[in-house]
Amino acid sequence: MRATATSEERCAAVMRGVDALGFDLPDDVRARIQEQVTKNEEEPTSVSRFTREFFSFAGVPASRMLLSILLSIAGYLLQLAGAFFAAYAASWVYRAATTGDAPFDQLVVAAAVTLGVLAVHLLLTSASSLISHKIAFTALRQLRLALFSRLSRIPQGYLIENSVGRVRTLVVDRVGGLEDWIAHLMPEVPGRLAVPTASIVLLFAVDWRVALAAFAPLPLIILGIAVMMAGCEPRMQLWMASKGSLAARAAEYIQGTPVIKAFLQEDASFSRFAKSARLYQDTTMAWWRQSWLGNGITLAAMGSPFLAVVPVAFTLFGAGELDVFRLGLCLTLPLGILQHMYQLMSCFELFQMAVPIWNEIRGLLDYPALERPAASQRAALDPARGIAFTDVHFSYSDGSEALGGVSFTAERGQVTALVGPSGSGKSTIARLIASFWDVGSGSVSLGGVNLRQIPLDQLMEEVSYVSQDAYLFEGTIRDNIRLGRPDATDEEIVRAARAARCHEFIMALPQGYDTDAGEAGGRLSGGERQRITLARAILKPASFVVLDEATAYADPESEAQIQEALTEVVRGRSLIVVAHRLNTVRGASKTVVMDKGRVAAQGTHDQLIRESPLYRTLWRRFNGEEL
Amino acid sequence: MGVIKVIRHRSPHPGRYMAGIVCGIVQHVGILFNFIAIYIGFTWAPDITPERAWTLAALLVAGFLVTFVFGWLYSVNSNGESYKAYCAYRVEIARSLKTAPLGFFSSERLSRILFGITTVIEQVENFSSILIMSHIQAYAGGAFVLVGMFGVSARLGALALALFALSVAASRVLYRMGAVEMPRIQERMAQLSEAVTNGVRGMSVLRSFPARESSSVERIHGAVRDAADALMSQQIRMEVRYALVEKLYTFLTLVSSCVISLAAAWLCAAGEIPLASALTLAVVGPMLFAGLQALAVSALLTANVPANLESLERLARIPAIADGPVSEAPADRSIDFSHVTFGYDPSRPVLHDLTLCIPEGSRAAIVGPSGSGKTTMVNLIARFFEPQSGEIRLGGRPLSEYAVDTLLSQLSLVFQDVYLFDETVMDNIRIARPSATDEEVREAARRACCDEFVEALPQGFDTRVGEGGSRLSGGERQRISIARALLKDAPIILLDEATSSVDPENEHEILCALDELTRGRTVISIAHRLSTVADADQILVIDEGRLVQRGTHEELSAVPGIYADFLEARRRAATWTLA
Repeated sequence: MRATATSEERCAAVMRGVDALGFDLPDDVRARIQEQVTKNEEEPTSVSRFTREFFSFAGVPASRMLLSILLSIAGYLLQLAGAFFAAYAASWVYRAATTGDAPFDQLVVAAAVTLGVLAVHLLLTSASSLISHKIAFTALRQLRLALFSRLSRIPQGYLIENSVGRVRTLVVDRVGGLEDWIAHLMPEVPGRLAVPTASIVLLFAVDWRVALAAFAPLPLIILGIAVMMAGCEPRMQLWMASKGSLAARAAEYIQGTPVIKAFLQEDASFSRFAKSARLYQDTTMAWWRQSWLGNGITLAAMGSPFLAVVPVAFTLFGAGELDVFRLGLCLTLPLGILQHMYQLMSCFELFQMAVPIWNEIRGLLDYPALERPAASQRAALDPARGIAFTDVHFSYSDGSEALGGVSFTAERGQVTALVGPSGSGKSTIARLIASFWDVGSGSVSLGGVNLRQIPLDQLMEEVSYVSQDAYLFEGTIRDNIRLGRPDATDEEIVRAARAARCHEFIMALPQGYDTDAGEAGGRLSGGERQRITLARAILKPASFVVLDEATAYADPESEAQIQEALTEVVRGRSLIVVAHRLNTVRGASKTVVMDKGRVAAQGTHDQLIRESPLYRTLWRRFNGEEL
Repeated sequence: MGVIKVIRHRSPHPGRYMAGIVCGIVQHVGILFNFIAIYIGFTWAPDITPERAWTLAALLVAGFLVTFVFGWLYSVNSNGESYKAYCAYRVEIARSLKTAPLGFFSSERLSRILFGITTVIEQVENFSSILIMSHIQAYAGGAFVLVGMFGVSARLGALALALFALSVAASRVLYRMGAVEMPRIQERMAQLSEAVTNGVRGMSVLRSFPARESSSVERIHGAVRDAADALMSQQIRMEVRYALVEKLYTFLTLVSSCVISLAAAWLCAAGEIPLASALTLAVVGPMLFAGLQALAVSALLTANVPANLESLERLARIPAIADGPVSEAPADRSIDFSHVTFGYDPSRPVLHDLTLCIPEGSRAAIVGPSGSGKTTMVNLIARFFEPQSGEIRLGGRPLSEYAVDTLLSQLSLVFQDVYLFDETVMDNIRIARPSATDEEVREAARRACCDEFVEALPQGFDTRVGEGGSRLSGGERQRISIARALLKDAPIILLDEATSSVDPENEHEILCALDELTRGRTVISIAHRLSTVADADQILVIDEGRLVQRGTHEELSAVPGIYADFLEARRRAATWTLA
């Protein structure tokens, strides 16, 4: 069922095949099949390209791998000594029985030599294995560290678009997914290729007719493969789609169980999952049932290396064209040929599985770094000027546009509020100031200098980005707060903690400020952890604060205290605040009203009430806590 | 073997499965055909007429056919049944979740269960058939060759058997090594995982603080480097040990094969066995050990299977919550706690001797410092867990006397975490009452103040919301959850007001919806808003798991205490400004 020109036609052909199988398919499975078929049109990766790329990233010298491969080939070739000895023993027996001229010592010497050769085989393959495994695991380690350090050079926005969990999966599990191929299989491939090749060459050297006879099962193998592949695409696509659907249903069932239970829908949801599992079983059977026939032929053929070899070899022996030694070789060499080839085939399958993993990993390795001048090339910032957005356009990695031409200025020494409905771009603006990403076009400047010309370190000195991420490190609480300004004295730290309303509860901890934050972190509430991070922000000598107001509401228990701490954070600094409760920013010098990625209006509260319908709507909707 | 037992246990046709296994064993008779052909060949040699050659060929073709037919029968029956068995296994695990108590579902448990029911079972599915087949190939294949050998010479047969047994023992050692080493590697992986997670979060925070000494950055990189190094050295250590044993094992099989050849030659020279026999036995050594050699390759890949099976077994046996006998709704919906003591860890109680009563149709507001046990209290009402001592009663009857479904039908839970299914908005709301009409669903959505944003979606109520509701914001998901509760129309509402803060943008709408929900029902809420406590019939102040104050807003605001502090804090929060 070969594909025709366009992928649409191919898709239609596959769907026809799928429908012919007679399954009752849910919509999501059909949708998956179509997605899969169209995705398949991607450029295939070759073994050598993959290998080269991988090893160059992992920084492993090719020469060592080459050594391992050579040792492996040599070692595996020596394994054939066993076959040679068996043939020699047979010929010795024959000589002893027919001519009587066969001293046993000869055999013993041959045995000893064989043992020696096998011992060398053991040594070489062990050495090869050790080298290749060491290389492989070292390479995997390098890759992991390369991925991790890449994170510190790419825009921080990557983490907004890809969750921490996903990054962790990439660094730990995906790299681990390459392991089977890199560590176990790839190093063995040359060796496993060498043995059948050498065996065939040797058979040809023994007698070309026997060598050809060794290939007798080949037509059967090809037949088997053809039977397996015949019209298999619809079945395979269906199987993959039902597998994906099962995984999604499982995720839903598991994660939704608490909800399901609360609404007593266990039976409905359970039967949906069971149905999905059943479909997967059925599609597996539909695919495999056909495969087993073909597979059965192939495997049986691979298990019959002597199919034609035995009659041919014995006939030749009977005709005097082969001596016993050669006959012996004919009866021992073919054994491994087909088996090794089969193992190579499964190696290839595993390689196929490794390729998409590698592409995913490349995605992070190739992610463009945030380009900024080196820390030493400090920019001269005009202390009188604030932060200015000039016709800024910005889109996320998936292409969706977040800002479509934003211009405004946040002056020094003033409060600038960003308000607007959900998804209007307020938070994106805040993050762009903190250089989470580079803008698409237009510019953001601080003190008259484009952010792209300010070293990241310097920017972070000037701007304090305060968000809900309340992360504490290993180290004491004191160290955690000191992060704001490494040369702060203990008194300054305590002062900052008091301002952030955390001094009391810190003192209540077993070792006070010297308590290990990692341990304590588990025992502290979200609001308490937040206040420690606010103490950091208070200590930090930045002149601009970019704040997401939602930080105040993250922990309703400590809301009042967090708010007081925030008041301290912004005291004496210029402030840009992403506001949700309009009441808190009523007195802002400038409020920028955002709508769908554009500035709808800007001005003071009174101006906006007069002039902006959107602002009026937002203000009306807002309901402050009254007493 | 364990795997076979597990599959047979769950397969719908265990008889067929075992028959398949037998076919899998019989299929290796083909090897015996090869053996016999070689023996006959040597016996007839050097006088090989074309007829004799064709006879040999026919024998080998017969061997091929036997291998093919029985191999195919094995695949169809064994592999087929095994896939069905794993399907049944998935369903079994899912079923055991149905009856688990609500409190079982913490987020880490959920991800572990999900991992088990998808990844683990998939690995076991794929590798258990390789495991079984490679063993059958090694043992059955070898056994048939041994039969042939015994047929030719009992003594050599015995020698071959001994050597074969030795290799089999060595292969067990190989497998055991894999099983022992793997958990150690998993542990290092888990440590690396933690270091990376912490590191990633830490790094993004650190970038905001250009600490000149950058010691924290160093520390993070160091932690990840150390964990990666530890994993690498463990992997290398294991590989070294394993690879050496594997090569030795292969060496053993190769040497054994040579020993057999040597012994055959010696016996023949001593005139104790005929020539044809010796010739045959000299060359079939490799045939005997081929399957065992292949075992070494698959051993590492399949080493995990037994451990994985064990973890699956645990999942299938989650302790169920006991259903009570009563299945009619209670006439009186009052709730009371009677000397309830409870701790997630029984030795560290979170609630101490709690006694209180919430009359039907009244509103109770629970207030207290963070960690005081408010959420736990509410969870116990929904029977997430069982208290260690004391009793919670609904309508005078202990919760455990009700059927779980009956109890839950009386409650609507509106908590912070809302899970939506990858289905339409309509269906997500309708889950609360599947028999509801479209009109009723829209009405509930309207009252929950979500009709506006839903109508604005591309397909309105028929828009799919993505897994977990990913296409909607937190506040929107919250309002869907309230719409569900409205549709369910249960008489008792358990509410965590922190939900309204989820989306300060839409707080107004959410609060509107909550007001609608709580009208005229028994409401037990963990309160944050002043209006909630002001309207409550009863305020319960919990501190460190004990009830320390109880009364109305007027009564409690007049006296100093936790409640008064709470009021003060709320007032300050309400009047906070940044400009």
